[in-house]
Amino acid sequence: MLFNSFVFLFAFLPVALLVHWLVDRFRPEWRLPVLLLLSLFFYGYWDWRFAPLLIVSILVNWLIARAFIRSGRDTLIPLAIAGNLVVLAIFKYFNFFADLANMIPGVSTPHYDIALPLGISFFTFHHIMYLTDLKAGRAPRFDLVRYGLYIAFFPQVLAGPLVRWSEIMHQFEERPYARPDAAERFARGLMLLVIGLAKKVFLGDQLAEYANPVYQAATAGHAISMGEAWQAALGFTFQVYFDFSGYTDMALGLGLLFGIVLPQNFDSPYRAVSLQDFWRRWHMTLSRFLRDYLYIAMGGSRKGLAVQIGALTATMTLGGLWHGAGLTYVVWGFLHGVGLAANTLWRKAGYSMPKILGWFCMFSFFVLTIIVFRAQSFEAAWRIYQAMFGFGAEGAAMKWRAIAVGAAFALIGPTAWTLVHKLPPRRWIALAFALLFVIVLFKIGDDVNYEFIYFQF
Amino acid sequence: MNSSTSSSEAPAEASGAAAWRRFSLFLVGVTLAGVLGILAAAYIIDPYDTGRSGLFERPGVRPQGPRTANASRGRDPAFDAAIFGNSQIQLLSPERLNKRTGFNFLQLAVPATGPKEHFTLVEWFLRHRKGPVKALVLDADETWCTSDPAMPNFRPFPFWLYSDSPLEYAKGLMRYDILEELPRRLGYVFGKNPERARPDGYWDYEPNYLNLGYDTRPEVRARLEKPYYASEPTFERDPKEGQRRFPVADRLKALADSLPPETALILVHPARYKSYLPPPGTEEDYQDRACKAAMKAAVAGHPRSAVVDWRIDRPENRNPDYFFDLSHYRQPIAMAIENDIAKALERLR
Repeated sequence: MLFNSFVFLFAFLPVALLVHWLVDRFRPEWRLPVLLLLSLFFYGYWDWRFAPLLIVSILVNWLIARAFIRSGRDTLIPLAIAGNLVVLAIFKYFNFFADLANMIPGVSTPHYDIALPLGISFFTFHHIMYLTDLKAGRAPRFDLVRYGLYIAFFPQVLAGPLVRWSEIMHQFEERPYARPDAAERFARGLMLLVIGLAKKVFLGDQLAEYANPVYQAATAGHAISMGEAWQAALGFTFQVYFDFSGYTDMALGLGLLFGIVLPQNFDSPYRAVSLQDFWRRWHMTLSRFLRDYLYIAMGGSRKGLAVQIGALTATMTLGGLWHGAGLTYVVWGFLHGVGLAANTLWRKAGYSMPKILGWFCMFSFFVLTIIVFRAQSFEAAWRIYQAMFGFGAEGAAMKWRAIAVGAAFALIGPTAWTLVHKLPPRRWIALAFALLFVIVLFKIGDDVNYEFIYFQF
Repeated sequence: MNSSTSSSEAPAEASGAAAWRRFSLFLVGVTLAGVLGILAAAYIIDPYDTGRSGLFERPGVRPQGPRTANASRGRDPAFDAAIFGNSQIQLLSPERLNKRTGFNFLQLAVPATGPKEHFTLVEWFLRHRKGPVKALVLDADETWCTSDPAMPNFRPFPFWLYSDSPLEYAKGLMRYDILEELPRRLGYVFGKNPERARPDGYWDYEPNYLNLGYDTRPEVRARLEKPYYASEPTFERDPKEGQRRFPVADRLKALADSLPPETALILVHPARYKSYLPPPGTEEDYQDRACKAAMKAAVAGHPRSAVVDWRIDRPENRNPDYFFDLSHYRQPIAMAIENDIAKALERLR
């Protein structure tokens, strides 16, 4: 179920809120099972055939965690993590690895076109975070309902944010509507939902119309003009931001409606003044996961500069692969690893850089590398690069209005979370949000609606 | 997230909580009222002149695309015959046909549509006739040869606008276009001399193609000569003989059977440039022949029916000056097809 669909906004969400409120009021002990059932329904609505995978995944990981706690066998957790990665590999990376294997002379590996279950990357990482912390003695045991809800909680199951068990489990024990700030949370959740929807349908989707045709033309081998290439590069740069940060705002807002505070995922990343700063502000929960569960596990900064550089590059390359089963994603991740390594070396050498120049370097690097990420083939990316620097078709005309609006929103002003938490409960503010909500709802009714980019990851 | 919890602040908290409750209720209430209010206004104002509300009636609509304008055109009582299809039949002129037949033709073609849209418009047109329908001309191009009973359409089409169900129509009104169209409709209804979309739906696409250089640019002209099916293998017999199914033919038969005997039903297979005709023996050729046969059989039961087939190899389809691209012909062919339609109608009188 898409957050930006009528079935979600007019049917699932009101029913879920009403049921949740009634249960919380009259049968609070049923609250978590009901939330879990609602979440499983939400997940299965897209394609019911994937729901068993999520359920089995929850059940098996929970049973292994229980077995580990009872027996203390250290091998169980690495086996479980490996099993999760194998499932992910089968569904997401089988053809990718088959293609790599087929590059070896004499090897012929078949393709299996299995549909990718939505959110599999996210719930796999959730399992890994819990199991790793369990093995390290940092995580306690949870019952099946709580663990299931941690994995499947509908605001975050499809595209995050990547939530640590320690950020959410204690909140499940609360009576959310008995809190003194319950009404405030609910109202701010509503505002976040509206802002997220507006970001998606007015900015993200608008920018998709700028970027998609150019990337399609590049993929089809058509010549691209300089204006079109910059339009595509900048268009996707801002599209991916508003698409994903809009989704995250909605997820955070929905979490608040059900009394749960989900972690922040964006902190004005396009205002970062270095690549390192960027990754602290962009998809923050993924960055933290990569840092804590890959980079540090690989040695981090504790084993000398060479290991650190290697760990950075490997972590970001794997992060790239996580985004998609394609070499373009791998190269994108690798480039960011190299960029971060250069950033580290620069810093360690004691050099400094004016902030504005740092921002320019960071933003240019991001715009140039995101082309490889989006293009889906190196040929298409190369065609865009050629055109950007004047070696494509003639023509400098570009659509820029939505890009300018997007840039203004991304570069100036607070994040949605900060803005929403500064606003007082004034009637005119509620009116402004209501009017925006009405327009957004009518916009959602249009024939062209785009899926969220991060659903494919 | 901040929240104050000390007991001395309890009254302030309570009033703060009440203020936030009112905030949420107001936000949700105004949103619901706004949505329902706009939907109600849209239903009453009837932005596309569908006839569902008579309060803001004025014949016709402002100039706009045929997807939406055809709702108004299709219920115009002035017409007793109509043409349905996509851009492949768009160039047929109602005026010229009227002169030849004495009927009053309406052009309801919509670019980039297939059978699902065509039948929707046929039903809309028939539903709004009070007098007898003299002729229906249907463009049966390759999209009619689909084996998919759902007759998938590839471009958005406002099926809700032509729906029987008021609920589906009301649901369809919930789109951003409506917010833009409502004031335009009011401007059209209350304007002194508003510009009106052409009532008979005719649109001559020639100037557009000419502006784009389709008749002069060598690389565009060269595309015409590239055989579309050059790499297709040939077979002595249809490899799918007896297995081909054409759900559109079933739909067509149901329509033909439902028509009164006095209504002429003309099926047109629109012209194709020679490079786009499947060579004999290719699977596409067998498919084309089977499809045409199925369509012919579907209309055969109707006493006044005929098929006009221009999707064949004939001298006109070998003349590059008569085509912009492989499937978009120019006025000489449009007039020749009109001539064939008029002759068929003459025979059926």
